[in-house]
Amino acid sequence: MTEPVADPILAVRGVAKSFGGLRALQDVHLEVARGSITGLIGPNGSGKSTLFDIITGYQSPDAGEVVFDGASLRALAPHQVSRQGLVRTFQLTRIFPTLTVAENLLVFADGAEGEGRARELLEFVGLLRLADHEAAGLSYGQQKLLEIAQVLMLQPRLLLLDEPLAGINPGLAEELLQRLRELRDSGMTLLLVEHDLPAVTRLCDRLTVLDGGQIMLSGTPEAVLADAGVKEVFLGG
Amino acid sequence: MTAGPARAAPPPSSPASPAAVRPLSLRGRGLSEAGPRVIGPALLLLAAVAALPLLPGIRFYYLQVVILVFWFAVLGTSWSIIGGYGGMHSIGHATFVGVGAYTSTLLYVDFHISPWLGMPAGMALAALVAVVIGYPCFRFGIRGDYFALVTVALGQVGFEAANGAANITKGAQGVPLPYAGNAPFAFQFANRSVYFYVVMALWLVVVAVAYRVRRSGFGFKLIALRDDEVAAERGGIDVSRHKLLALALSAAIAAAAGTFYAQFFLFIDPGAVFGLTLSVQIVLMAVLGGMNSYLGATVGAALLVPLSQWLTTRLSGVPGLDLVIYGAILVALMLYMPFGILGLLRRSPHWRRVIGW
Repeated sequence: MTEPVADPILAVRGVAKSFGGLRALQDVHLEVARGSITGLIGPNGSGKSTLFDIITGYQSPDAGEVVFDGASLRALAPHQVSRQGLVRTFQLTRIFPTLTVAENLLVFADGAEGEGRARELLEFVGLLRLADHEAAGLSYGQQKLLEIAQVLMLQPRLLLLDEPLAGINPGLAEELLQRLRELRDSGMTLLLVEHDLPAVTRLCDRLTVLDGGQIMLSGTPEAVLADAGVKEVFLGG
Repeated sequence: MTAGPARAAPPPSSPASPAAVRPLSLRGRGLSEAGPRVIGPALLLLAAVAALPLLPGIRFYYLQVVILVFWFAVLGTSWSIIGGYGGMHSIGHATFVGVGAYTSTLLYVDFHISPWLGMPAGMALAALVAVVIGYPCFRFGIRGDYFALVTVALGQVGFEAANGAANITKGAQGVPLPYAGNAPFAFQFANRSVYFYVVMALWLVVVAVAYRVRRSGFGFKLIALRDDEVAAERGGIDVSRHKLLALALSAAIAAAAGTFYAQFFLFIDPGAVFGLTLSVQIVLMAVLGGMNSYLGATVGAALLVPLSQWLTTRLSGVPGLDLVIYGAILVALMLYMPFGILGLLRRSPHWRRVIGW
């Protein structure tokens, strides 16, 4: 069902993970095309977050490996994975609440170059005028945007987004989708988990469906959504 | 970038500050930002304190209280580097004080090595102890209450070791340092006021170090990992390495203060320099003043040391009552002022840069 991807930036090969008796992931193979926006969809509990954790080093797989840009990530700690240029956001937003908005970015790159980039990114997510304020005082949506600006500060080559649209109002969501497309057009690769199917369909170049810890199929959004099996998973048949 | 998404929801409390006015910077302009109206009086206060020993007829008792204020400020500031900035709350910092005091003292008493050389030796040994204890803790993610418990245990081990290894440390009876008269090279001064200036200089250096650390990239990374370790890792920060460096630096400073204690009182015993009481006092200084700030412990010590001295003399008829009152005040402060005194200023973008919040 799954066609091969030319020049993948990320390859997940035969990854399996169990928690006690629960098999969260079984023999997962996934390839992400360089310069694409790839969506990972699937019902709750299908293993999407576990897969994200394994790709980024927060959990280690029982079997299989993750290859990023030709190099295995085996045994790398999360901070080492990030330094390779593979960076993620979390489902529950993670920022530094007692640092100011600007410091949340500058902590990862100081000096004139870092300041220039921080200013650009804060403008990009519309938080520049709150630069001096403690991040704890931001609204949920703003914190989410701050996290995105923060991970962009790290200049990732591959960005993993765990439910970027959840909890963001529709106007803001549209804006965010546009920003994500701009990132792709600037050469970044994006892999995202998202439940908002209409948004995902419009945004993504490719979709991969995860169900019960296994990859069900991958393909263009049109092909995936037309699949009878996928309809069954998402609409309950 | 025309329509910024955040315009949809500005927080009600934020004053409209034109972002273009201030350059974005991690360090800001630091202390100079306080302006002459803050720096002027602060320097005056410092000069006035420095002139205290010159007051004719001042009782040494009062100078000793100020010496203890500086001494506890040094310890609380050292604690703030790992406990405040790094969020790893050590309740065993007396161990490092003890290692410093015993190292320089035993080197002096047994081998006639000047305490001025014993001090860096003690600092190095304390940093080594910190690394040996810290490495497994940080490597395996022991944090929060569990780290505090590990350090309590460390403190007990240090205390028992100093008590038990009597052939080296003279055990519970303590080690008196031979009085050498006026011997600057042996860190002893006939004019007791000199100790005042020595500890004040030590305090200045330590506050300057804490200030520099707070404003360095290293300091911001410490604050970041304290705020959210997972996000810090995600940002490529080697969390355990940063914690280890902070703990080692903190331990070395505490050890230096230990050597000063030995030279000032010319007597050390395990209870005084390895005791849990001292560990707890160090934490209280920093927490009361505001442990995020490089000045927090100084504010805490300036209030708590005179208060505890006053309570001790005032209530000497009722043993223990001073400690009860001391404790009650602290509980109230912690309940109503969890960020400490300087923490009250943290909401102001201007003041938080001045106090290094």
